[in-house]
Amino acid sequence: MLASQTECGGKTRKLWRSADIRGHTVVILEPMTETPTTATGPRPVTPASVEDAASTGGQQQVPSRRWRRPNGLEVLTVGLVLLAIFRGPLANLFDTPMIQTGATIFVSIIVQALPFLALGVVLSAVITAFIPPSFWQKALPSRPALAVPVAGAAGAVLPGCECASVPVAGGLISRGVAPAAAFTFLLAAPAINPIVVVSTLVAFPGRPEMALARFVASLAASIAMGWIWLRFGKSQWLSMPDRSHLQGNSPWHTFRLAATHDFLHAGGFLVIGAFAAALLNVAVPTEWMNAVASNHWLSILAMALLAVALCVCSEADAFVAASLTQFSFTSKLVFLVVGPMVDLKLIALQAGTFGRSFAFRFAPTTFVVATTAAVVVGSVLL
Amino acid sequence: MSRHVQALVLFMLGGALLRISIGETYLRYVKSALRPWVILTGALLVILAVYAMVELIREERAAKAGVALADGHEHDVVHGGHDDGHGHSNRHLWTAWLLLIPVAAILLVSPPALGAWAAGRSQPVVQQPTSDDDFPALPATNPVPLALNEYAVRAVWDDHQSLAGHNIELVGFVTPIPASKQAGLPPNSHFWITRMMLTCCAADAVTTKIVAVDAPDLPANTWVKIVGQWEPGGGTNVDTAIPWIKTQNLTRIPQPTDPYE
Repeated sequence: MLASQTECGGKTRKLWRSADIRGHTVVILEPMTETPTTATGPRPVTPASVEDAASTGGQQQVPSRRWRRPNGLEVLTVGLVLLAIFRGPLANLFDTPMIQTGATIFVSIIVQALPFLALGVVLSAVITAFIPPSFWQKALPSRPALAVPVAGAAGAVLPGCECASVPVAGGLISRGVAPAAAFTFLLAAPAINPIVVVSTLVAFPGRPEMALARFVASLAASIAMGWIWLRFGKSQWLSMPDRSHLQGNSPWHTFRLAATHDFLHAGGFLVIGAFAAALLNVAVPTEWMNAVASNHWLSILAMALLAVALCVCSEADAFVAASLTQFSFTSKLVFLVVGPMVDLKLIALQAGTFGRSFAFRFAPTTFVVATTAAVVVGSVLL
Repeated sequence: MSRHVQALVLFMLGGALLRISIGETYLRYVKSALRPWVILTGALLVILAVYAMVELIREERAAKAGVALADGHEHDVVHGGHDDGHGHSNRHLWTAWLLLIPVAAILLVSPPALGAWAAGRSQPVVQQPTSDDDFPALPATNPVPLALNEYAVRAVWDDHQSLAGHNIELVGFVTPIPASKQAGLPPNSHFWITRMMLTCCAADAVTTKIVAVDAPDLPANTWVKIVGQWEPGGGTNVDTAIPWIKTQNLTRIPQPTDPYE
C-alpha cells in the first residue's frame, strides 16, 4: 500500500520536512520529471496539494528498494492473528493476582478517561471548526497578564476532569488564545469546577474548609503558572502538531478531521500514562505509606508524589484522599491540588499535545508551584 | 499511521467500549453511572471510523477512475489524492498504535474485578457520615440486607447501636486475614468479608472489610452471603475501625453483577 512506501527512508522524510518549511516550494525539490504542479494544473496550492506532492515523490523512490517496510494494515493483521493464536498463554500470564490487579486498574483508567477525553476532543474540535478566532479576541482581555486570571476563573465552568482540558487548551492555542491564558485554563478547569467542589465537600464531612482551601490553592497555582509562563516561557518549547492538514472542505469535515486526529493522538498518550499509573499502583508497598505519614514534610512530599503516580480523576480524588487516613489534612490538600494539575497521564497527554520539551519543563514547575500553594493555603485555612 | 489503520484502530477501540458497556463487563472497571458516556464514546468512535472508511473507499474509487482517464499517468494527482492522509502530518500518530493495548486487554484478557489481593493491601476506611442526624431505624425484615459499607458505618459511628437485635445479611468476597493481623480478634476469625466502593473507576476503589467471626476458612475471592448479628468489637468512632459480624449462616454465591458497592 502506498502509505508505508512513502515512509520508507530518511530521504523521503527530509523531503517532507522541506515541504513543511517551504510550503509549495517542494515542487522545486522534487526529483520527479513530472512535477505535481503540471499534474494538478491550475489547482491552487493548498497544504493538501503539498502533501500530494510529497507523497507522490516518496512513492517514486520505492522501486529502487528491495525490502520495504510492512505497512500498517499488514502489521495489524499479523498482530491480530498472533494474538488469536497465543490467546491462551497470554491469558495465563495474567493469572497472578498482582498482574491481574494491575491490568484491571489499567483498563479502568482507560475506560473511565476515554469519555472525558472524547468530550475534550469534541469541544476542541468545535473550537477549531466552528468558533472563529475573533471570538477569543473579544472574550479575553487583550493583555495576556489580564487574560490569565480571566481564563483561570473560566475554568470553573468546564465540568470535566483533567483529560478533557488538555485537548481544549490545545484547541484554544491553535485558535490564537495566548498560551499563558490557555495553560491557566488547563490547570484550573479540572480542579475548581462545581462537580469537583461538591465531591470534595461530600468526601470530607464536617470540613467544608477543605473544599474552600482546594479551590483557593488550585486557582492561585493556576494563575501563578500562567504568569510564570508569561515571564519565563519560550514559544520554541511549544511544538504543537501541525494542524494545517486538519482544515477540511466544510466546518463539519474540519470537525471530523480534528476530532479523529486529536483522539488518536491523545489516546495513545493516555495509554502510556494509565500503564505507568497501574504499575505504580500495584508496585508501591503499602508499608512505605505508613512510614512516611508520620513525618510532616515527608508526608507532604509523599502525597504530592502519590497524586502524580495514582492519576485519579479529579472528580474522585477527594474520596481517595479521605481514605488515606494516616496522612495530615495539609498533605491531603497537597494531594488534591497537585493531582488535577500534574499526574502521569497528564504529563503524557501534555507531551503529546504541546511537545516534550514543553512538558518536561512545565510539569515539574507546576508540581513545585502547586505543592507550595497548597502548603501555604493549608497552613492558613486548615 | 495510514488512514486505513487509523480508521481500524478507532473502530476496534469503539467496538471494545461498546462490547463491555452493552453487556455487564464494564461494571468491573467503572461505576454504572458512567455507562451512557462509555456507550456514547464507543458509538462516536465507531461512527468516526465508518465515516473515514467510506471516505477512503470513495477516494480509491475516484483514484481508479482517474487513473483510467489519465491513461497511464501513474503519478497523477488523483493517485496522490488518495494518499494525502499518509503525508508528513500523520507521522507523529505512532502513539495511536498504543490504543491497541487496551483493546487487546479488554477483548482478549478481560481483567477481573478487583479482589482479595487489592483488598489485602488497602487500609479500609469507614467514613464518618456527613450529617449528625440519627441513623434511620433498620427495616423490619428478617434478615435485613445491608451494604457492607452501611453496616460498617452503623457499627462504627452509630451511638444508638441501631444494628443490635437484627439479623443482618451481607454480601461480599473472602479476603483471608493474615496471621500478622489476627491479634485482638476473636478466635475462629479466618477472613474479612470484603467489598470495594467506587466513585468513578477501580483506580479510586475504597475497601470495606468486616471480620466474619465463626465463619469457616474459605479460599480468597469466594463470594459469600452471610446472615448474622452485629458483634461489638473492632473499635468505634474512628474511621480505621474494622467491625465484626457473628456468622449464623453462610452461603456461597456467584459473583454479583456489580461487584462493587
